[in-house]
Amino acid sequence: MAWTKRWRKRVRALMRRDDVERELDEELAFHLEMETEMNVRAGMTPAEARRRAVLEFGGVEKHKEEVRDARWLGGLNGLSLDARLGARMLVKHPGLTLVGGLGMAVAIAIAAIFDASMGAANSPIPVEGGHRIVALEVWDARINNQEGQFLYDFGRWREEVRTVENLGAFRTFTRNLIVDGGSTEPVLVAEMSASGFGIMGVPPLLGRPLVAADEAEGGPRVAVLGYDTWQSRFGGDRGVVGREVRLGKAVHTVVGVMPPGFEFPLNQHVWVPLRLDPGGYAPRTGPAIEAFGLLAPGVSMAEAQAEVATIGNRIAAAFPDTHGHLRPRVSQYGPHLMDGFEGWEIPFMRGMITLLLLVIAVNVSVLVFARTATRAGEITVRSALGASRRRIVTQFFAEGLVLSAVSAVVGLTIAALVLRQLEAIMDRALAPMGGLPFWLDFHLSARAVLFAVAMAALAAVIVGIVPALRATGTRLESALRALGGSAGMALGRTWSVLIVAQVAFTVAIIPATVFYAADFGRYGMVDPGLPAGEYLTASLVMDREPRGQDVPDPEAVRKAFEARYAANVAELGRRLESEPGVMGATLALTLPGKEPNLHFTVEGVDAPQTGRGFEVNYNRVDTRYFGTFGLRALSGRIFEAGDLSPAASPVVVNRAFVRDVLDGRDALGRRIRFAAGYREGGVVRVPDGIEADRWYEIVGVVGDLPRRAIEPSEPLAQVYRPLDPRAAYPLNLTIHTRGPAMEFAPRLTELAIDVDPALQSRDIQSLATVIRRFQGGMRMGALGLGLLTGSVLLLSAAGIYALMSFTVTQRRREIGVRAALGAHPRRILAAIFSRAARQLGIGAAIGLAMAIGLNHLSRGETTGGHARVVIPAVVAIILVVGLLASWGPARRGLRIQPMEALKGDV
Amino acid sequence: MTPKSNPSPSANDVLRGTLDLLILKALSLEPMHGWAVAQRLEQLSRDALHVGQGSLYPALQRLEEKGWIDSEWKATEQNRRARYYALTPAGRRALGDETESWRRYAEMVDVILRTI
Repeated sequence: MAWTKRWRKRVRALMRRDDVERELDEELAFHLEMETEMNVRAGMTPAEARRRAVLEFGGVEKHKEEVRDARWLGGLNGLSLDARLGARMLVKHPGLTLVGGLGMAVAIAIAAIFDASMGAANSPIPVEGGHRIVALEVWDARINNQEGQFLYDFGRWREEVRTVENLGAFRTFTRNLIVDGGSTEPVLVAEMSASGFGIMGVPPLLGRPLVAADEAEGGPRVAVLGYDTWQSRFGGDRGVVGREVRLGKAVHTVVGVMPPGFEFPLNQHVWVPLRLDPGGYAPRTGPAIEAFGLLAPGVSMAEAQAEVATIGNRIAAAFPDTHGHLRPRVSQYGPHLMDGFEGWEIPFMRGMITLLLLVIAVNVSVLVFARTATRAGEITVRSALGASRRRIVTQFFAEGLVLSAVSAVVGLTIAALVLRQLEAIMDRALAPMGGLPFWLDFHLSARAVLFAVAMAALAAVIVGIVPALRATGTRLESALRALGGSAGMALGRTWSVLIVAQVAFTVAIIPATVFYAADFGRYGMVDPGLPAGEYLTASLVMDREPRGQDVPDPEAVRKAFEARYAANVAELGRRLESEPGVMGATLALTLPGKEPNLHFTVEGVDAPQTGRGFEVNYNRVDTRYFGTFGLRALSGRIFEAGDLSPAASPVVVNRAFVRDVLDGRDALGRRIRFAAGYREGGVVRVPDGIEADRWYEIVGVVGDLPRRAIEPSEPLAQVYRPLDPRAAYPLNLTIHTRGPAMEFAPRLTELAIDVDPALQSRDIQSLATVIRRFQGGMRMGALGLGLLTGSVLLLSAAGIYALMSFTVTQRRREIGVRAALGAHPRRILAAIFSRAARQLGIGAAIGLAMAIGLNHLSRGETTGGHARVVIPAVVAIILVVGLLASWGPARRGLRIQPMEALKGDV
Repeated sequence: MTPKSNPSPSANDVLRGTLDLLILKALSLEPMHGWAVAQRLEQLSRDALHVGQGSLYPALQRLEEKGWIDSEWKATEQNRRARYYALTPAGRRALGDETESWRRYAEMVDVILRTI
């Protein structure tokens, strides 16, 4: 068949390019031979015959190129060759490949990570019609934050709103899920309207979901289990429907199991019906809830918002005192979690990232442009040999594409790895709330990949096509004539300004990054100084009615709760002591190394800053704390049973306190006083049980724990106060176990539930894990900063190198003339260096001023108080790097042979 | 036969489409290699037409890609390897069509030239 043969040939031309090319050579050679023979027969000498034949034929290479163009996919036929050429160029110029490629990869990675984070934050619930699920919130315009107590409003919405259907509400809490004969662990429970199941449109795996009838006050207590809970607690038992489970103290009957992936509203695994009658609450009273619904068919978000706002205005008119500043709001469920970030943060971050991308793009194009400029000769020769302009531009594009494609792959890989880490870190950070919401997925979206591909193509256009177009734009003859001399392309003022700006930026920013990277790295390696794998830690929490529940006497309820909690933890402590696997157990406000910082004034010692006192770590610990961690009194005593009496006010300090605060002066008997609160989430808090005007007396000094601060720039000096379990909640339990700590974890849960089913031991982990996670984060921070610093330095060096290289190429002939006229090599070298040195100098001076300013503004924090060492060191490094980068091209310039340069050979 | 001395380009340059037609015509008699096609065209035109020899091969490649001609390597009479081109059935049809449209074109030009 004719067409199969044609396709075979086409494929062959693509796949077996060498064979096809050889045949073309042979065919043309045959033609020339025949022509020559004919000329000989006509009476010419063989040499003349050959000459005439070749003349007659014309440029062989040109015609070959035309033949190639005429082939199938002729326009592209060079592309794979070009790609190979491109790959070869990359290997031939490893510096450019590494620096430019790295720059592009970093840019693509940053953009992809940002895009994936934004995509995750803005993604609706992943069910059919998920974009129609809405959150209804009430915003307090005075504090620009959410108001949770809106049961009254919710009741009105349920009656009046037409644009949103299936209106429902929920509140969440954690309870011990106690299964007879099974393990016990705290689970996240949603108390939710039955309509939450209808909204998602997900049928249950077993049994039934919650239904409206379950919401009736006084009805049977029912619960629906999530898939994971069903698997882990019931081993996937299909007969689970109808079984009884306890949530804390209350017994519930399981009525259904939901399929995997159903964790609505956030990340819940157990659901019980919400039994709240909105009609029973006055405006702005009752428990805090959250509300959701589904847009009615054909209704837009704006229409729903308008209707809810109108109802809100009516309520505000009726109750101006409570509702004058409240604004109800309808927004898409999922992205609504980002509502707190509505202000300037996201545009600001987007702007910063764009700026960073721009800086990198500029650097990479300086590099490539300078290199392309040095290849002007090659372009001219190729044009002369018959390559069309399109052909040359295609080749440069292919070269750029190879580089940017490799960068895109590397960048996306980095992004994927970082995103996985980021998800794990955020999940851990949100662990007290049950981790990330179930629909958040920090994967590389198809959009991010497409974006990266588009960026790569765009980069290839910028780094390939633009310089090639400029280089091929000149007329052939003049380019040919200029071959040996100037490269015919200029690298003008703009580039010089960019290089100066870059050096300045580098000098300004590197002191801080170097310092932080070193600091993070140092703290990432700290030795805890004790066998952390044998310490089990947990946070002790007790079931409590959700916030806002109306009770007749809240004060009495609180007192009763505190008393019960104190009794429970004391009982747990007693039982732990008699456990054979336990060497010691202690309660404290926080884990060692995670203490909050407080300001104290010390009697007879002047504080560095008047009025603020010394910043010191603060913890409250029971009498067994020091013994459990192997600390003993170095002088004075540790806490005793009587220290909690109202008359006593003892504190114990550590060795670092004596060294850093007291300068080695005597500690015992000295008094200290609380000076200011600590900041947590932007709020100044005064810790429980501290009296601001009271003097506390130092009764003892103990060793340091941990031996070095775990977090950078945290003080090591420590003040301990005796722990009153009634005055602090929740408490941290640390158990010194015999053998690996985690082996004791199940027994701890068992003991706690035995004491009180409402007592939850959360976040059970070994101290080694706590430290390792923290240090892992520190090391990652150090690595990230190190990479950033390195790439900034590298890009600067590359910019200088490119500029120098270009200058040398451009001034080749001039250098040749000067050398021929007898100029001393040192003078030529100085001339070459002067431009680089001038730019380096200006950049460094501006950067130095910026670095000093930054250091001054941050009160030395950006350099950890070592500004006098760090900043000059950085300037020196930049100068050395810059001069090293110019050294190669300068040497190349010195090696230019005068005759060669003047002859105009390339 | 001697090579033509300094032919005037305007008279001898052959339009690309026309060259294709002439090649098809030359090959309609028998399969032949590239050099022979060039010779045949000069012969047929009684040396008036000078085919740029270099542009012959891109044209052959183009026609082969269109499926109008086919090529294979064969031995010549002097026992040397050469690539021989032959018309395919599609090429024969195309020759008819192209010839027809060329005639119409030529007539049209002729008519215009007479009129004005």
